[in-house]
Amino acid sequence: MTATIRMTVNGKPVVLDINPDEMLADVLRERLGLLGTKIGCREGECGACTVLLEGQPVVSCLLPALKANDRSVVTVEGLGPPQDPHPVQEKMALMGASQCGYCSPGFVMSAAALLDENASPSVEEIKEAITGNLCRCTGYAKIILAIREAARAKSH
Amino acid sequence: MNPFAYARATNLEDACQKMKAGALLKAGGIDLLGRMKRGTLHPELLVDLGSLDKMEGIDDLEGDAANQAGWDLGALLKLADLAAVDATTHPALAGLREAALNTATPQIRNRATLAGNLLQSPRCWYLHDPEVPCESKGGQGCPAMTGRNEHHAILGYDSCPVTNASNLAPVLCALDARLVYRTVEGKQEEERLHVLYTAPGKKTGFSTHRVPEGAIVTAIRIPRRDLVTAHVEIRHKKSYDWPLCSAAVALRLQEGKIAEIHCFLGSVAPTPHRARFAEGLLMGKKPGQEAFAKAAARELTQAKPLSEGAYKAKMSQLCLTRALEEAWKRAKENQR
Repeated sequence: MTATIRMTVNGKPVVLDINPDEMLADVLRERLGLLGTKIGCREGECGACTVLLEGQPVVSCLLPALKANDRSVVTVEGLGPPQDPHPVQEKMALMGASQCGYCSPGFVMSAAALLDENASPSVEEIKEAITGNLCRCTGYAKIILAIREAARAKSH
Repeated sequence: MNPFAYARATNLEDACQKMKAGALLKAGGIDLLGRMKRGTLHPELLVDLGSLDKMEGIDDLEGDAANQAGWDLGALLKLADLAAVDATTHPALAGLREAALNTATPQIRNRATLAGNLLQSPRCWYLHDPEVPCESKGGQGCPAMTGRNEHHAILGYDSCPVTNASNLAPVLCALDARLVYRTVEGKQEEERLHVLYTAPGKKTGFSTHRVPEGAIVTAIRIPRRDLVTAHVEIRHKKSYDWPLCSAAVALRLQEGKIAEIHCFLGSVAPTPHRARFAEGLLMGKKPGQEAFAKAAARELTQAKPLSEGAYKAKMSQLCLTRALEEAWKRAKENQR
């Protein structure tokens, strides 16, 4: 049994026939070729698959794609192309806030959602916003600094 | 995960009919999909309540000045919305806000619902492992009794020492919250949350609650707002984890004495554990650190930890003492 969903992905309308047991993370990667969204644990723990659903960060591995019907989804590709990156993407790249890079898209999405709601977050607020994202390389310090710099850059 | 079909409920009766045909209810899906992915649950049909948006809000109950009525919290209210309530104007909700804010991760709080949190499956690593047989899964015996049991119950268990996994349950029990549900016959009923929780065992069919078969929770009713609450927890990790121990206190002061007190402990029993001894020692008394410490110590003398759980009795005692102190502090501030 398949179902038809209509959603907006990175600003573009998308119509797809999907199975009810397909999670949004898999649909984004395998049906739409948006490989920026990573899959780590598939249990909602690591946050690598974080995307924005109606502007709010959610783990796409625990979201049946059907739930995105009639809604807008933004992935890391939708935040900004390489030639015009989102301030979070730019600062994370410039400041070495990414090593192996696997967790980075998830961090970028959580951070971008934070800056949409709070233009000048404190370090504590940044830490709280990324509690749902795991990184096993950087130790988080550079990620937090990069998000703080991105907030400054974005508000100027 | 097994393949499954999916339907959206157009209304509660529709959801009810689909459940009769074997569907499982899905709200946020956090607990449900985790269990399906681990292979401990294999529904063929999910019926999604997510689109019933009348169940997502916080409504004031009607009352009068003498009888301060509380709130109806929608069953599908997101934990993120609960974590954002204004606790400065409503000290009754302060503890609830803290409990919500500490639950899971920001991403999960954006999807997880209040009723889903309250009725999620209990905590036990053997229960959630499809490879390990246990009596709760239709096998024999309990591997936790002789195995690794540092996160298991120390109070109120029989043959199945799981712990209630809801971070919101202790504080809602302390607020005497009611679960409002629609029965299969279409009637609306309500029952005290702490009465609905039950320790799983052979008699209960290993269920952790007494919500009737086929019923759909529609709201969580907090009947009044004249209590002050506090929630204190201790955890290994700040994020994506359950507390090792937690305590929730709701109280009311009158003329410097404790006129009313409700204490519940989390993560130590198959249900939120009502600290009756502590309540009894403090009721009608003058509050103070010494009285709190004594009451909390008395409560935990009845603990029966398994081989690795002795630390929990001490930790739970500490949580209760701190929650009592915090609630007292807030009650005094609230009087000013």
